[in-house]
Amino acid sequence: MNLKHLKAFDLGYQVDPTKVVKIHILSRLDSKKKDESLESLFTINQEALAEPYGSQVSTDTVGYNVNYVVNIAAAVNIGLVDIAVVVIWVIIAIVVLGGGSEG
Amino acid sequence: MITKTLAFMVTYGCNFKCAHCSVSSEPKLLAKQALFEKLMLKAIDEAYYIPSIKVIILFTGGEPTLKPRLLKKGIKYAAEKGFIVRLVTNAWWASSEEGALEFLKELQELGLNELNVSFDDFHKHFIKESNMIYAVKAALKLEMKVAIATTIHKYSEMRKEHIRKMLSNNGIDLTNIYILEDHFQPLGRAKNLSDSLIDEEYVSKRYRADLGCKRILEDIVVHPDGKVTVCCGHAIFEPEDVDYYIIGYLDKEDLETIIKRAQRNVLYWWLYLKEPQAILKYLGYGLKDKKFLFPCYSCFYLMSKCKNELYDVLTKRKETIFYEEILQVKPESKDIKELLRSLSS
Repeated sequence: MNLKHLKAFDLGYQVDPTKVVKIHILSRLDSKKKDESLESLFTINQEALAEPYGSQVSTDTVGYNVNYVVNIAAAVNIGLVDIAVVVIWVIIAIVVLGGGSEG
Repeated sequence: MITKTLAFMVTYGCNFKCAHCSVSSEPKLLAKQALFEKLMLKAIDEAYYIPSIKVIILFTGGEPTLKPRLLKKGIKYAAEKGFIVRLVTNAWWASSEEGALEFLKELQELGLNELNVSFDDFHKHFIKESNMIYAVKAALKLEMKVAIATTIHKYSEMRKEHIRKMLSNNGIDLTNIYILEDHFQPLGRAKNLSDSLIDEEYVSKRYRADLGCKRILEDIVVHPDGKVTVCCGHAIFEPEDVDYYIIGYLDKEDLETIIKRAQRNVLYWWLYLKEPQAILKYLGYGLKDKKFLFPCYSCFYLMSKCKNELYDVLTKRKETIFYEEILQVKPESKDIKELLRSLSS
């Protein structure tokens, strides 16, 4: 077998995979936020075969794979607490605005 | 590109010869070389020292249960090292409820945690529905995690919902069962299937060409001859020249060296973050054939038919492709040294 590709395509230095993914995602978010919803970046359409079955979230129950979102959130340094804070603010805003329109 | 799963292709042989099989498995291949035991144990030993591979050691094929001595040894050794162990099988051994229970109990005692049964319209030509039912019932009784993998075509009856109904009608609680549905990909023996069987609508919805292939280097496969491939996709079994999928040989190097080198490979990063279709477009291909809707077929085309073009582009423009296509940053807009430093592990 000819494995010349392993040498020819080698970057020449070790990279931290998490950092590469982080830079890629940040670049995509930056360039695509004007014309593409965040959801389309976070939606994955393949079953998470690499995970043990017990940790899988079926795509037809929530529409997207939560593990993937969490991985991306981790890659861009967004913690679950940050996500929770945003969710709470959205709920407060809905309650306040909803109440306002009724009055 | 952090390896999570180590799969062992125990044998390419199988007691069935399904029309959709991308491995092109069949009975006559059972006589050919099975996985070398020494290499299997070496891989498990080395995987133990790679923290990210803590999730699963997967035994697949072909039909791995047709090499029982090797399979049992592998399950026991992987379980002793603390790995979660999964078996992928066609359930030929589950011809009765008692027989299935006895068969699985022995494997569970050795350390098997998860069972994945392949069952669909293609497998139905060779096996009864009752085999799948008995295998699932036995695994649930033993409190194992269970998945059923079903491969569909345009006119398939055996889709996810149908299998759910079948299980339900047999009194099986669906709570802990995962049904994995996928469309056949036109590779291996499935190349002979008619294009009219391709469900274009289904495939277009299922595979998005802008998210990258998350199988690359995350699910690696050890083959019977000791070669290690960068993914578990359908294209790695093609008889054509698909050397680019090979990331090393276990009889020559250790697993960590093989994985670390692959993590430095620009082609694998490109596939991981941009998909094969995006690379084909970069090379100027129009992708009019509906087969290009399939990521594994597109990848096969890229790695075989476009091999020389890919080699030329990547050797001439390796750095530029890494910055502009993979990281998606303009090199002039960043301090390169700073960026390199930040990427180093």
